[in-house]
Amino acid sequence: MNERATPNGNGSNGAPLLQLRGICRSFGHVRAVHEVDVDLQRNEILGIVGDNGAGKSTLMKIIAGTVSPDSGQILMNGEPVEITTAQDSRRLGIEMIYQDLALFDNLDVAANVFIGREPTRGLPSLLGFLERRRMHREAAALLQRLNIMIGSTRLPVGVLSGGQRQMVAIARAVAFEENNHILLMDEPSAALGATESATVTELIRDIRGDGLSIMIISHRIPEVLDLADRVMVMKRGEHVATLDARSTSVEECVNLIVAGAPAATGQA
Amino acid sequence: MTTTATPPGAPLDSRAQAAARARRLLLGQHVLLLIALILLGTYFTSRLDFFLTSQNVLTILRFSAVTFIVATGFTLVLIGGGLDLSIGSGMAVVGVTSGKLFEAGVPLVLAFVIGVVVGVAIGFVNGFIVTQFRINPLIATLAMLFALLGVAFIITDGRSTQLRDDGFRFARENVGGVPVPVFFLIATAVLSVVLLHTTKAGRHLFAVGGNPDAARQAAMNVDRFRLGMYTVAGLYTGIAGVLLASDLGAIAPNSARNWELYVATAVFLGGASLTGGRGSVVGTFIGVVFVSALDNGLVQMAVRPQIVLIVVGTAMILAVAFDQRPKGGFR
Repeated sequence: MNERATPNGNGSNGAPLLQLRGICRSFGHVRAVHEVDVDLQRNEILGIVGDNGAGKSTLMKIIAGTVSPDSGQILMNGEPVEITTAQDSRRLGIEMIYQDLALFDNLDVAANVFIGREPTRGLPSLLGFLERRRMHREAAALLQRLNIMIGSTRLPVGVLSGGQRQMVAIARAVAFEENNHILLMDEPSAALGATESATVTELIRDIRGDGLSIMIISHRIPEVLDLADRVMVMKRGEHVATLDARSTSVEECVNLIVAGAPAATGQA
Repeated sequence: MTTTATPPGAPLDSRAQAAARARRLLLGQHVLLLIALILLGTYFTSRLDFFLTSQNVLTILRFSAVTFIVATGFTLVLIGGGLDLSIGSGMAVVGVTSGKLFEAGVPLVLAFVIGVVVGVAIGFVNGFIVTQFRINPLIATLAMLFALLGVAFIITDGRSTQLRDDGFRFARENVGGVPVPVFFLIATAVLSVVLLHTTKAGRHLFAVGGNPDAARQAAMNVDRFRLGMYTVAGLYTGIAGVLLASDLGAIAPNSARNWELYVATAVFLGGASLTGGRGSVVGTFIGVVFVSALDNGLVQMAVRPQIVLIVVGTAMILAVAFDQRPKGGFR
């Protein structure tokens, strides 16, 4: 997989993988997202931080196609694209992991990884016979490749720990990575303890770079600074600043989140 | 492997995993119910000379057959996150339709086929109401329970009539010493196990019932899937309704009254859950045999029917209490 550094053929024109231009979305009187621009580079991890109600989740859902913008433009590789449904975004290689993970507690790990894309044999479509052995084999290989340690692909997801569940969700999102360019994650470590979130962070670091760009919403500023290349700060639906994760500090981020204005000069 | 010291995502070591698996196997609801069934059988055998004879076992199986078939449809609906209380009335409509057609001179096979088609249509209507009008299945199928009972009474003018035999009562026949309904039971069981546990449709049924929102995100059409699920359940209702009519040899609008309650008891005993995503054909089979054996044994011990009702009710409460147990304790 490592040879797939540039996921898309026309990536050489220098345009960012994903660009949002002037995205607006209101819910009634509330301006959830207002005139927001975002650039996401290839193989980049972009953190998005901000207070509750800052518009982070709405922005992400717009990219995922589950919320449509009132105005604004989305470009991939410099070309405008239309994202109005979740299917649209999936077709463009965008996968989203929601905060609730959308796992099936009553199904085992392999079933969760393959849900909706099960390989079958015999009769067509829904009446086809599941290739169970193949699914377990491929799911086990996937977990191993991602260094995810779960004892058995036959365990029901309901018995896994929070961290393991998060990792199954990530594995599912990247399992069919031939289509995958962008992974959106909403609070991947929100419900996790310190060690668990460290393991998940490790996994996220591992999967980036295989032609995969990642956008992460998080409340944990130190974790985002540790993981991301750049961090975008939002407040009340507006873009406040985008910072280089290496040169900024937790204090600077928190100030921007609270005050909502760059300390000195204009924004990036 | 990674260098992380003891990540929480650490492999369950193989001993712990084997232990977990053994515990799940031993405490799985099937197994507990099977043990309860064996205890029950042992008790009845000690009290009744007749209980564990092949004759009586076949009788229990014969009575189990119709219940099992409709209970399997009920199980499918529960797994998919629905509920169907209309099964008893549905069976009555199917039965009286077949009976009336047969009485009017329609050939036996055709009368039965039309009965089954009526069952499928009832299932479709159930599914249509639940998915298109967004009515809670408890309410929708409770309404259908009454409406269909009314239909059955209209078809029969509220009277039960005995039918001339002429082959109508094939469900009373034996083939090689085995009652005909038992063959239907076996065929239903095999086909249902295949459908539920080996096909993509079965897998998606568990998914749709277990987490409908996640199923939608995985690009499944939950409503259309549930419409299909109720329709397939109607097929089971149709077959069961025809078999029951044949067994009774009568046009009887009352024939399947309260069946939804017996069926629900058996299915919940068998491990299915009102919250969806759980249940199995094998569990339902054991549940049905358990209820039939309980009924059979108590009746033979000359226990008053009122007491039998109380015992069945108690079994139901125990089953649901078991379903509500804290899940963490059984990991």
